This record gives sequence, C-alpha cells and structure tokens, in this order.
Amino acid sequence: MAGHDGLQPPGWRSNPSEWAQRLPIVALALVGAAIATYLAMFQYDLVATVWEPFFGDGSETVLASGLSNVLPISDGALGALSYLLDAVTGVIGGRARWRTMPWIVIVFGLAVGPLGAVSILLVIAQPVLYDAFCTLCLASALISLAMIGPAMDELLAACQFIRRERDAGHSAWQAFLGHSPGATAAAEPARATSGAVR
Amino acid sequence: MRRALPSLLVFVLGLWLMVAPSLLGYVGTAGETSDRLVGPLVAAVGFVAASAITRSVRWLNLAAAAWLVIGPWLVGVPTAAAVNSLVVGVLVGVLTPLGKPDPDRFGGGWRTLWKPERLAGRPE
Repeated sequence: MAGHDGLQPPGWRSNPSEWAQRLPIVALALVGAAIATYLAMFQYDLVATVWEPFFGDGSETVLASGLSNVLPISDGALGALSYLLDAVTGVIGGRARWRTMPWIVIVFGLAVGPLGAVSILLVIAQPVLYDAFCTLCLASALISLAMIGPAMDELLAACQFIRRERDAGHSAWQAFLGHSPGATAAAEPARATSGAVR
Repeated sequence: MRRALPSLLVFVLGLWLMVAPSLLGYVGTAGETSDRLVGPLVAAVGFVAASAITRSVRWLNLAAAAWLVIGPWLVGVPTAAAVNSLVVGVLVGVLTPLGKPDPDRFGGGWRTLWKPERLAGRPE
C-alpha cells in the first residue's frame, strides 16, 4: 500500500504522484485529445459530418460558430493541443515528482485547470449564443472537469513542499526546480510526521 | 465517498437546469437564459467539488443558489421556470455546505500555503 514507502508527502495518507493516481488522468487526457482531434477534423473539413446522436445539427452549428473560430486555430484544435499537454506533463517524472520535479507538477496543474474553465465557458455559450448543444463538446467538457480534482492534489503537495523548503531557509526557486536538499531527502520527515498526524 | 454525495447531487441538479427549459416548456424566455447560464456553472462546480481536494469550490454554488431563488422575481419568468428555479435553488443552497472534507488527508490542506504553522513536517 502506498504511504509506507517514504514517498508520500508529510501528513498525507497517500502519494498523489503515484502512477495509480496519475495514469487515469493521462488516459482521460488521451480520450479528450481523440475527441477534440475529431472535432477539429470536422472544423477543417477533413471529415464531412460529425457524430451527433441527440441534438440534430447542433454539433455542426456549434463547431462552425464564430466563437469556435475566434482564435487563429479552432477551439477543437486548441483543445486537442491542451489535452496533449496534459497527457505529456502527466507522465513526466517519477513517483516522488511532487518533491523531485515540482515545476512539472505545477505546469501540469496550470494546464489542467484553465482547460476545464474554458470548457465550461464554451458549454454555457453554445445554447445561449447559438441555441444549440453539441454532444461531443459536452463529453469533452466533462472529461476536462474530471481531470481537475486528481491533478490538484499533486499540485497542493508540490506547493506544500516548496513552502516547507522555503521555511527551512532554502531557495523557493531551487525547490521549484527540484534542486533543494529536501528534494531527495524528504523520506525521513515524511515517516515521522505522517504517523503523528494520523 | 459518502462525503462526495452532496456535491454529486448538486451536479445532477445543474444538469437538470440545463435540460429543464426544454422539458418544462419555457424555451425562449428569460427563464431559459437564466437556467442555461447557471446550470452548467452549478454542474461544473458540483462535479469538481466531488473530489475531496477541491471540495472548497462548492461555496461558489451559494452565489448560484441565491440567484436561482431571487433571480426569477427580478427578471420576470414564466411560473414553471420560477417554481423550478426556486426549488433547485433551495436544494443547492441546502446541499452545498454538506460534505466537509478531511484536511488531514492532505497534510493540512490548502490553508497551509498561507498558514504555514499548520504545515505537516515543517522544521522548527
């Protein structure tokens, strides 16, 4: 069971950088990337129609709307790139990356958070501006929301680590980069305090 | 998991708001616009709050609940929309404070970032 190998952050019952916690997020991100790529292919006329079981021509209305094409690349293409960034930053680093590579954890958290926020804005805009819903867009929004919780626990562990290093008199910047003393020697306090907190 | 239940119910209520204008027949009214705006927000906040680590975002839904209760009286909507909004708003308002997370699972939780004295494993 995770939590007794010295990899979990001090005061935590589990290790948020464990593969069992990260791989499901990566899988979600890859599914999201596949959906967004498909939608982008429709937007760039690489496929003629788009799968839409519930809302008639809703998907086509939404995907061809002005809001979807307000940026130099379509929102589908942007979504696909964001999901790929989530997947890549989700797999980089080992099982203690909350202290050995806090920077990648923070990039990961920053990539996951705004993607969810933008998804919700698009879900709100669809019916209000265009009187249309898009099944796969809703599915994509749900996927991006589902990644937020599991990503935020790792983000918190990395932020707590940087805070702890700074309070110990080390450079927060070095801690961010994973170069501070605690990055490799965090196992001892982890054992001592997790017992006490429990 | 039991602590996530109130947030998941709020998520379902948000989904209900998204479909209610069509099912209750007030499409094209101010009631529809209100529900189409607030529904996805309520659903998203409830869904994210179902994770213990981000449970705190649930408080955003108190603002949504307040709007659902008073909004219909301010903008004027069909009766069905007003009643639905009132009922959903009260339910969201009651469910939102429930399901307090256990911060000990996360080394003291988010507050440790601005209250470092609560941080586990902190050197003296």
